[in-house]
Amino acid sequence: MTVLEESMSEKTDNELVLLSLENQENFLYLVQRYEKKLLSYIIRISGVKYEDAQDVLQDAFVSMFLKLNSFDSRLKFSSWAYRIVHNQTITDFRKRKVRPVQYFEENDLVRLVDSMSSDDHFDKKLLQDEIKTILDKMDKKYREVLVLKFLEEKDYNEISDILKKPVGTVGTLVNRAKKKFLVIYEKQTQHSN
Amino acid sequence: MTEISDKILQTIKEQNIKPDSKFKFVLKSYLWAFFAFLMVVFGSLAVSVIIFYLKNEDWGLYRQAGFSQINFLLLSIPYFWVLLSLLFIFLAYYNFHHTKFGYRYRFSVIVLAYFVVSLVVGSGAYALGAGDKIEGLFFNNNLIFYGQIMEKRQEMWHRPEMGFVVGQIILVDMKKNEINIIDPRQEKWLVDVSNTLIPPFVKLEPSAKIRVIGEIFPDNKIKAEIIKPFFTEPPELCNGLLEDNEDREGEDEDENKIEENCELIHRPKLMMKENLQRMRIIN
Repeated sequence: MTVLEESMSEKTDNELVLLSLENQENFLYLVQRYEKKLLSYIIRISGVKYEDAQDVLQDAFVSMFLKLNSFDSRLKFSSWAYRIVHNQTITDFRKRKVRPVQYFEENDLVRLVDSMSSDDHFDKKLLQDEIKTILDKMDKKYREVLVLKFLEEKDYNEISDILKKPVGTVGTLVNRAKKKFLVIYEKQTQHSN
Repeated sequence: MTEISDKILQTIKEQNIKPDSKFKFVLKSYLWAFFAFLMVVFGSLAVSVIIFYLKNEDWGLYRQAGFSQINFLLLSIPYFWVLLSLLFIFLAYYNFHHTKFGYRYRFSVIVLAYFVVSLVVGSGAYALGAGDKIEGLFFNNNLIFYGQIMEKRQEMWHRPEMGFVVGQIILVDMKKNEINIIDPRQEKWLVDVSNTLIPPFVKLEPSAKIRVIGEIFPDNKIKAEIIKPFFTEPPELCNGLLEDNEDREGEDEDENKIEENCELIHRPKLMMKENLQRMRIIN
């Protein structure tokens, strides 16, 4: 790591936004800071292939750069970035009309059930395939909040800023999503028995 | 530098992409806020008209006219203005939601706040006379088929079987204490006003629209007990001024002032032309 890279890595997101407005080269440090997180977020909510997700991410970062002056420092930069990526993913998904391939990696599924079961009575022994099927059957709006809450580990205020929904609504959505998850799971086990 | 970050920076450089100006975003944000505010103003004015309608309805006469309380209430609701008000609620919510942090508030909170504000501002606007002015503007100019909507609503007071007749004066004969009116169904009525309570603000003159309450006789004859203006009472201010005026008779200036204030709110133009040739006054 060069001295410049080291000094940039110590800067806050807000400082990097101001520096990017002064010099576009500095935007690179913001991209590097968030690209991995945002790439997996795109895959988790859209189920597109890795290569397609990369294209969406590229478009999202260009759009982010264009809108850099609209960033309000009262908001967390990560929330703002997630919001733009979220919107870009939806736009792109509609345009391409691609069928989802796989939303989650196996590691994600374990984490998702672990986090959900920590504050609810989910069976941690759920099979990976079962979880995948359940998530595939869920509405997009419920899958999104589950991803943001339990995989991206965002709090309700951040989710509210990302999805542009009131905090109360986010809470309701998370609870409903958990219930739906359980209902689909129970139906599935009844069928298999 | 990763492959993606490299590509992104390359795209930005190659296409010479520059961040949009801050002014553009600030203007957009203010425009949403301004339109949200504008919708609250419009909504408040619509509420002032609703208050105007409800306050000026003849709540004391509904039983006599054969309405049940609920039936009369349902007929008295100015649906056009209520719908307009709901439209403004939706538009206010839509605009507010698009302001920078508008999304943080629940729909119910925004709508409740909107109701409170529009009720307070609407009451103020009504007190300043906005309600009757706006109503009159719509009525007289027949804006968006308003006349037709109103005609239907006003027919609620045309119930000859209960002794309620609505109509436009086509002839006044004060020697015989009689007036002729034509109702919305184009039927003519001979009204005996010899023993009738006529409020001072009701002018018995051709083209004036009135409501007659009295006893019905064969051949479309009515012995009127009360005559009321066709649509609404004048503002409360009128009664106050009229009472005051009894103590100040002969003061010309004040009389003119009262004349202005006590004029009927609506001067329907819709039916005037077609009835013009039939009008004459006998003194």
